[in-house]
Amino acid sequence: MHTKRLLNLLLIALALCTSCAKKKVNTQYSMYYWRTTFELSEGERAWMDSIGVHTLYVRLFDVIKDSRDKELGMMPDATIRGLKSLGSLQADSNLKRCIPVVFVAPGVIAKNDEANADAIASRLLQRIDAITEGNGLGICDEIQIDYDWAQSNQKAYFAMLRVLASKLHGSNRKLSTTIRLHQLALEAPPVDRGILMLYNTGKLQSMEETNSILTREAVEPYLRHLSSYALPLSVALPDFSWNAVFRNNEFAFLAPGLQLSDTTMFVQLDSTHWQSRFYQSIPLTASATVQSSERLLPGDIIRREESDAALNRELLDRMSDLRSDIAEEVVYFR
Amino acid sequence: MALLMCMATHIWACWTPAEYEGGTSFRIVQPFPDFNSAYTNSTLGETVNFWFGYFKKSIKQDVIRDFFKEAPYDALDNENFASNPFAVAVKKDANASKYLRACLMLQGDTEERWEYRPEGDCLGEAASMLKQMNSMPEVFASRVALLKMRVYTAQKDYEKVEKVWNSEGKSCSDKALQNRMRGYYAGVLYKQGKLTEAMSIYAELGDQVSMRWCVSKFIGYKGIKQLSEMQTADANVALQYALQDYVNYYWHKGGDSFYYDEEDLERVVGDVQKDANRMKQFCAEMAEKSSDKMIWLSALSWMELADGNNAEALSHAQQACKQKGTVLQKENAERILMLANLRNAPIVMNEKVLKALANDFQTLCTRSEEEIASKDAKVSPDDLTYRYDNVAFCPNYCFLMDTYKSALDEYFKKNHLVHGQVIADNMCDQILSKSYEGAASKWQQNWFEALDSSFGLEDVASFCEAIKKKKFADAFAQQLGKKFDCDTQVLNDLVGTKCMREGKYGQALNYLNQLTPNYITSTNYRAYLATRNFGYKVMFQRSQYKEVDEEMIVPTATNFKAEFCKDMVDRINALSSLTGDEKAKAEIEMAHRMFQASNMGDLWALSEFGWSSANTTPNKLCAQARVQLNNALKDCQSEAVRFDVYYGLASVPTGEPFWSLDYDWDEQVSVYKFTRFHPCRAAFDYLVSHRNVRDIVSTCDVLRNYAKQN
Repeated sequence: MHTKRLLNLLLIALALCTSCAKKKVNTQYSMYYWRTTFELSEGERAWMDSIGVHTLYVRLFDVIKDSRDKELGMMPDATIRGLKSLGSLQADSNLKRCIPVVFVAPGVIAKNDEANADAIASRLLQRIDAITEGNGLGICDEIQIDYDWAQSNQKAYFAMLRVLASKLHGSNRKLSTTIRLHQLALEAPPVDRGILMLYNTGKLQSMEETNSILTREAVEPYLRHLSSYALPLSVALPDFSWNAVFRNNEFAFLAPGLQLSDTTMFVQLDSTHWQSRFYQSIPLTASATVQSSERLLPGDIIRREESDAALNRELLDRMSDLRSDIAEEVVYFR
Repeated sequence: MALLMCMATHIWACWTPAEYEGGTSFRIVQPFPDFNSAYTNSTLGETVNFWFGYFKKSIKQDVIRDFFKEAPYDALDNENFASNPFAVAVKKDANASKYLRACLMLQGDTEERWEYRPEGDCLGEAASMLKQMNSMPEVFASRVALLKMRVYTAQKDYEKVEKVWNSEGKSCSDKALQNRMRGYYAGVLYKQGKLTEAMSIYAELGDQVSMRWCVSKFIGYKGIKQLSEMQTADANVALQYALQDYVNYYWHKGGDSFYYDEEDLERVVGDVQKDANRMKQFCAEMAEKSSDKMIWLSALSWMELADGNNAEALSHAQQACKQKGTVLQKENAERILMLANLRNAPIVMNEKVLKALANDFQTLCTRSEEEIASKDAKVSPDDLTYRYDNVAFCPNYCFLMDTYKSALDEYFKKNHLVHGQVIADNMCDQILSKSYEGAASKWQQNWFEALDSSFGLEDVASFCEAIKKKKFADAFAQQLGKKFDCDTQVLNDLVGTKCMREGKYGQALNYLNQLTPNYITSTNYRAYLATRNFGYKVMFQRSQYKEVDEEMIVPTATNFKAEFCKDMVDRINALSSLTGDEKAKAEIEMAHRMFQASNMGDLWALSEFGWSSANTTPNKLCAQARVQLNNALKDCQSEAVRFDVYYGLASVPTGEPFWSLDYDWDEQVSVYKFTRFHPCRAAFDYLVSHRNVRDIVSTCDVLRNYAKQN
């Protein structure tokens, strides 16, 4: 798997060199860290070193709806643990920057939250700084908000971003947000830059889906908005795989770590589908903190989904043609 | 049938509370009802009882419970809790304060709040607080020991956890606390790789979640075989759980999943069967050589039932019931035998079976009342989720109903017993939510919704009568009906409203006049009706009402529904003395009011108990309004009145869409086509041809588009 990933990266690097020849783009590589405990495996460290990951975007916490907070009705959740080890990682690797990210759960910022913009921004900023400082990372020069906004709550969300940006700009810091494909058709958020998310574009839970991680068809309709999108953009590409388990034609759960090549346990149906032959448990993986209590039953269908380096390269090429800044930084989601 | 009847009449007497798992489950390992999903509640209940006793019942249990539900780690120094009676009392007591601060501080290590504390801060502070608790009074001794185990577990110092268990936990006399300590000790065993020992404790505690983690190492045929070869008591408990886990999954097997072609289908069915056959064979072998014959025969019977081999299942279940086993294992075997019996002999519903069902139901109810009462001491009374998950009535009743469902449905249908069907379907809600919900929320209950949406006026009126008089057609319905707690005010409102919806205003008044002021002020629709204008002609101009915040409305006891019906009765009576335009005008006015009162109008709360923008089907009042308008069309003489009639006929929806919508991909625009034989077409034609359509279309995009196309 490791060799395959390196090969994928070489392909992308090659493609970018071709682009460089045309447009002189120097690509920096970055990575999203989205787990709840900061702990990199040796394989991950090696991968980061091999491509020279320059910036790590670390999800610090989620914000969820919670009525315990009487004023705003939202609370932090799933705060990252073990972040102190990031400091030592910075000291002995190529890693130069850490950008804290906060994931705001869907619907948390409501239409009528415009009046709360200042309070929300203050709380976010204070907590982000407290976490980075408390874990020896100091004050980071950029923060990122990940929120799937829609037209209905855009006004309130943007109002919050404006306040947050102004607070950050006051101390020469920057604000970025994630941009989902469908948001390219909407007004750009009032921030310094955006990261266009090119993963999880499909319908994971649909039996008909071919690859929910990324397909050309999912991206195509939105590319026409790219060149006119009024915000500096980088792109986030997938570099992961997973197994979606379906039972009785319905999505059941994600099962990482299955040895699908084990023909005593699985039958391969086509290039992306396998079928479980026996009753079996889900193996414990490095990234899972607890043993899954889910079981695979005989007859369960497993759709193997993998990110495709060639597709990543193709899409990056096409997007670079539409706007050159997009290839300046490639963030991998792993 | 004799055996079936025998089973049906006594089966409940030997049942104990069991976790409900998809309606049917194989259970041979004792569950401990107050663990897992209810763990927090159980722990909370124990904690509340301790402090309630500690402060000699001077502080209400609710106050203590609320404190623990909401308290952050710094609650004793937090101004939000400054006047909390429990916090005040604790602060006055040095030992209590020392202990509680440490407990709250430990909780702070995983507490999510806006004010961030670096990881481990709270845990470190809790650990240093713990060091100052060497000379605590006896009443806190076991609690401090438990706290130590929690702190050490959080610090991942498993050696110390084990040490506290050996020195203090083992000898703890408080069983509830000791169980909690055993759970932490089991965690140590798990970490040390002593899975069967850990599982043995989890099984005894009924900690199903932890059991499932542990058993993952021993699942399937191979794991079960491996466990069966270990000759220890711990392995035996683990084995039983692994077996239970396997057969319960097998019951819900995914054999009919998605297949690619016939070949795949054959192969997968073959694989499934191969796996099952191997396991069945193993069960049969174990039934021969093991001393636990009952569980292996039961498992075998269960798997045969899952495969539809009912005769084989019956034979194994009969054998299983003759073997020795624990009470739980016997109950499990009997339940499987009952299922096997039912699968082999179809049920014919008759008086005898209904009486047996009534007896079973009565037994269940008595037991559930005792059970709910005993649980109330431990859990928060408003925690309905807990009740649904843990009160044995629900799974047992569902099992009873699932078993007899098709026979009962047929019986109720044949005898027009709407009440039997609705009551039987909603009994779980009734038993579990009893006395915890007010009148207003009854509208959200399933039985109310089922009556309103699935049954006609006659059926609902007869239901109402049966409930009021507590008189039912058969023994079973009679038993159910006795337990069905149903406010007759709510029923009167429902039947009256249904009459009104059908234009039977006089009949509606018989019910609506019975509504008391107290009931009316408790309804949620009063807020909507109190702010609406009844005389408003909605067809001509939409009114703008602000969103209603129910709490802001001054309570009103006005019986709006009865007033509306009375007004309509008067108007209908007055019609006979009118002719020509006068009569047509009166009919138009009535149509306006009917439309207003329909679910499409501003006064929707007169005829509906809830409103949704997703409901685009007009209710019967719209059809009534159209009848009135058509009458007016016959009676009117002047053009001015005729225009109003047609305007009304164009406005009151029929439920049929005006347009079909296509998308022109070349032009990238939506294309609307007017429905050719739409009932409003004549009215549209009239309006377009008789007046300058621009005068009236400013608010009507339908008419504007129609005028463009015609």
